[in-house]
Amino acid sequence: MLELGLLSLGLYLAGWGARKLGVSPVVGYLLLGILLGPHGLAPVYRLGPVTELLGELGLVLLLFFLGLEFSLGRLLEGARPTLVAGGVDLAQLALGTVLGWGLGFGWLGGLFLGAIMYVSSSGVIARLLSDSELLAYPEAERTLGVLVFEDLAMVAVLIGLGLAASSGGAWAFAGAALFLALYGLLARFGGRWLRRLLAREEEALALVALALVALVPAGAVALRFPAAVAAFLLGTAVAESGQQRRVEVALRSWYEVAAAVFFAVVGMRVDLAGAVRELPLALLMAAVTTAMSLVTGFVGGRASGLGRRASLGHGLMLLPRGEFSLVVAGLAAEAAALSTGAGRALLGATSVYVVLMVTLGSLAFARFEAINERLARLVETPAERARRRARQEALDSVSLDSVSLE
Amino acid sequence: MSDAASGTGIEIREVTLPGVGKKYVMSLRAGGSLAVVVRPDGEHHVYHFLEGDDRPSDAVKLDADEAQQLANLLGRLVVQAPAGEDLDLVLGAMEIEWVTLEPDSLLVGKTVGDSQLRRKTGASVMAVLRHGRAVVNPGVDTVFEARDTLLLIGSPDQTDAARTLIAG
Repeated sequence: MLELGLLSLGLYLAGWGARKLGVSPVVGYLLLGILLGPHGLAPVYRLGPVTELLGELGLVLLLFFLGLEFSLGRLLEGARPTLVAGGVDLAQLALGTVLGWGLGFGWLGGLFLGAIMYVSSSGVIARLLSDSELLAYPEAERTLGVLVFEDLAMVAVLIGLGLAASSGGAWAFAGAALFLALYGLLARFGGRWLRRLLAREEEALALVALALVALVPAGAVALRFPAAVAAFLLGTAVAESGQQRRVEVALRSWYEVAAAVFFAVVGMRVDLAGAVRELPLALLMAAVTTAMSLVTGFVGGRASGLGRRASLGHGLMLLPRGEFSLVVAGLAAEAAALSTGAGRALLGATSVYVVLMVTLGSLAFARFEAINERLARLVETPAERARRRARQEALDSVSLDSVSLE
Repeated sequence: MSDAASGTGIEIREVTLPGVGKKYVMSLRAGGSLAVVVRPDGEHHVYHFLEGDDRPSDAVKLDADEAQQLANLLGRLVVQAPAGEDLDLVLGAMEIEWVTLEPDSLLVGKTVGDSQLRRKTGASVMAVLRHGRAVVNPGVDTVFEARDTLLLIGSPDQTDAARTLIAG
């Protein structure tokens, strides 16, 4: 009881502090874990059973909620522009992989790094967008579409990485195949059954939903299938059942609490000395991601029919990295096929990298207009420059008039 | 993404914003457009775009009650009842029906907007009775619950179609 109370209070304060500084609360949760965790600056907090459990549940719920919103149906709704922009965005996966190989992680380690750097944080971006004034901008629509694309691509990448990295060989392959086959059956024929199962009221609904969310990933782990991916796939299946909103309401407060704990636990696993050692790698990853995101965002935006300013805005919105990057790094740290040194390095660097990218992304959202305008001037055509100047002059003359009237 | 054109030829584009809500964009005859973003909590953001501009020139945030109030106001101003025998004509072609949602109805858990009841059948939901209270003129984001009683309005064909859809 004491553990839960202190944890919640600590998380509340960390989130509050982060908001005060104008960044996403996720940064606060991660830093809280890194600084006060067992390997931190002031190791006042030790990982108790409640924290461990909520952290695990947080990851599962995070991905389950993503699956609810970011399903294949949504991707198909977005149609061609989303597929075009999402396809261009995939270049980041390739570039990150090459970077990892160049840094001496080998091809498999490179693919891990590529995946870490490729996938933007849908959770963080959707929240930042919701709280911003930018919802009606054309790039907001494209950004959310690309996030759906990325999350679905990550399902395939994570299954592949899980298989390549595990020591289970044929058994791991058979387990993954069995889980996917069961999911296929559920998605194809289980809709009505799932709808009836979830057509309950109040606490009965909450209990049934929580049982599903805990049991399906647990079963997946028994089949050596990544729990995170299983939770995501379960979310997409529930999204099709028509009970999505009610399940969301029933599990909402579990989700909010456990997701915050998940980020703190990730921070607690980080050895501060190790994180400092990996700082150069994290900074390099952040710099490359920022450049890469802006370029692929611009190219993808243009290719899918956005204007120049909006295409730059699209790249800016895609900056935050979060849950999926941490999942990949966690997988890397446990991967039998990577050396322990490489896996640890990736996990340490990724935790710092996520803090950097969420901070940078939050600031990009907070000062979106100014940054977007600055960048847009770099790529504007002569006609656009003329129009901007004319508009500026018009604005200037208006303010002069009002001054003279006074 | 979908395009829906009503008899007036005014296009409304509907887009799902995953994790955020829904966006409806209506082009204005005088140029430019209006965008309405509806959040799951019922908050409505209304944006005005000038012609040739991809950033809104103005934004208004309405909470669920304010949005409802504005919808009522527009509805009252736009719909004017015809007088005399025309009124009988309208009443003759119109049918009002009560339908209660079984827990396994397709509509349970969906919002009024997601159910696309009106688009598929032509019938509209005038009110929802729930736990002895009435939600009059439910917004697109009102969620249907099991045992809700719906007050439907439409032509006899339309209300029949709606009954079939709701039971299915």
